[in-house]
Amino acid sequence: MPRIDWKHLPRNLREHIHDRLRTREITEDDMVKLMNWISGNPEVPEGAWCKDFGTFKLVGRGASPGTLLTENQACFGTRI
Amino acid sequence: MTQCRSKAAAKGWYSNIDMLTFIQFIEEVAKKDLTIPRADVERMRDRFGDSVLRMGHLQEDGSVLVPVDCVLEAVQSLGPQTLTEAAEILKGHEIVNMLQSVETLVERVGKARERQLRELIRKFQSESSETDAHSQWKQIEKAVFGVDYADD
Repeated sequence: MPRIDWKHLPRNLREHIHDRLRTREITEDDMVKLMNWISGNPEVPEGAWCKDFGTFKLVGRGASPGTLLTENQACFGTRI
Repeated sequence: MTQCRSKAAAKGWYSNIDMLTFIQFIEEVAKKDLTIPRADVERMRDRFGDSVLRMGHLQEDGSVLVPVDCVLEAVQSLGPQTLTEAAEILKGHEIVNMLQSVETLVERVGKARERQLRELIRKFQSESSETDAHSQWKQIEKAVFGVDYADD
């Protein structure tokens, strides 16, 4: 099972988180959840996966996180 | 100076250390992160569970990087007796009724990280200056992802 490569997180994904956090669409609580999840260096499936944090969802494929979904958008791939 | 560190300094904690020489102490607090080696991480996880991972970022080699300023904040919130007990346990000289000391230390380092992140986010969200907001965002990235991304 791969682990996410946070060192090479796509710039557009970081900008997306930046913009949505700045406008409070992403809550402080959910950023803490993200930090605590990342702290454990989690394993993810080889294929598509989705992690729901509440006010946003992170989707990716294997070690590469791909994009951010809003809380109203449906997850695709394996829910983790 | 970060929030955690300034709080420690304000309480005069730095001047009460007599276990390290002045130079050793400065060298330790000058680091951004402390490393808990893999063997110690595994031992602590066996005993205290995954709350150990909330102290910092787990690395590929199994070690955990813990922000120095959050350790300082947690340490200053504990009494000297508790700290001495925690150190004895971590060195392997444990006594069953002392285990609570390490559990408290581990939990407080994790809480210090969370508190620091929440404070950064509140500042970032209410900051009117885009320059200052950018600087706060870089600190948020480091806290959340454990990475200093090159400035865009």
